[in-house]
Amino acid sequence: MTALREPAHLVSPRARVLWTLGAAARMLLLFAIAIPVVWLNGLDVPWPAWLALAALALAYVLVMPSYRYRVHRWESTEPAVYTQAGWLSVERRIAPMSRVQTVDLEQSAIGRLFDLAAVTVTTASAAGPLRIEGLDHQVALGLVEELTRRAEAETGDAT
Amino acid sequence: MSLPDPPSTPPSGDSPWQPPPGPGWQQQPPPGPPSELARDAEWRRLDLRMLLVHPVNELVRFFPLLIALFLFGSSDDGGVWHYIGVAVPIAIGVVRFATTRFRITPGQIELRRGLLSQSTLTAPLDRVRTVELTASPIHRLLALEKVEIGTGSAGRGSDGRVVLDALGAAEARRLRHELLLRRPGQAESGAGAADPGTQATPAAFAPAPVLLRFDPAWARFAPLTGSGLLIALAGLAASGQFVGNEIAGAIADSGVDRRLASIPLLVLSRQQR
Repeated sequence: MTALREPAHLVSPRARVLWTLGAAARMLLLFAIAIPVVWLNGLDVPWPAWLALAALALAYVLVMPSYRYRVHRWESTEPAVYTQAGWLSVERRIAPMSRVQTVDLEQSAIGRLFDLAAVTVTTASAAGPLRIEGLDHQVALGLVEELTRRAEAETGDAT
Repeated sequence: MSLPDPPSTPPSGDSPWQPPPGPGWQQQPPPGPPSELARDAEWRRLDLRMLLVHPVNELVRFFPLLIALFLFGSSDDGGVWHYIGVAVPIAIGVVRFATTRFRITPGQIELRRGLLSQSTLTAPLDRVRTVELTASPIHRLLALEKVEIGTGSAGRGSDGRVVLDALGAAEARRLRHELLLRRPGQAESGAGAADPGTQATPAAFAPAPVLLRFDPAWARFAPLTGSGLLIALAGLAASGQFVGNEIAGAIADSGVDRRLASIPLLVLSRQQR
């Protein structure tokens, strides 16, 4: 028995920048909410607690993106599209090309600044769509072209 | 889209849904409107009349904000903000129209949306399962219809749904017919490969057979449902209470109650004997 190998391709290295920005924004938001709440309620939080929280937040912002970058992978072959995503929990998904319903190429406003795109492949599966984030725009265009060509070659309504 | 020569005899079968053979059934497309699937590879916008609909929709969406703006912004220089408050939703509506495009190639349908964040949705035509036409009152006023093309995708919300909001009513109906009556595998096999035995694509739009029409006489069955019964009982109770109050008032006015008050005493005294 051979173990299931990882998908072949990494996402774009620039995705790390995007994830770092997102993580930093989330952490800033967390502090922007937590500090006024604590202050308004007159809670007495000891300074080591603040320090620990700040250290955790900083570690999250610094470590998560590069770790995530090593996990997020994708591959598109003749019979199927295969993705792996996650950080602490990792999810691998395989969708046969004959089950592909729609292919969605998305670029968020910030993603366009870094020339990044996301590809969403929907199937009839109740587990929801497959999503590959942080792809280089050109790579994403090629992938969409490939996926739609292969999905179109499979006739029928794919359910 | 070119169709093969129609078979000399209409497909046999005992399906009750077959339109009666007659003029227009299984003939070449009429020379009038071009096929909606045939306009290859050119990006099309939605109907131009949506320039009227989108801004109105956006204004409605911004309505609470506009109310606030007009109520509290009516101080010295509030006038400018009033204009901005109306102009921004209209601009959003126009941008929405200008940035939405779709095209239908022989094998797939593509929909592009968005100015800042963009998305391109692609679905092979073989995957099309449902085509839904809806028209809000404002759509109907302008003879527009929204086309929602559903695939078998189990996406949540709008994931994987191709929504064309909106096309002209005639164009939308034509598109619906052609998407639904398309033969599987048509894109690859081409017209010549279609098996005449299974060909079931009426080129002209045979009017859909009416299954059932609403009959006002059905209304008499309405109270037989649970909710109908509940409403009827509630009505009965309310009217009963009202009538009861009226009777009580009438009795009090006539003074009968005082004369009747002695009767129970009489009854009691008889029983004691």
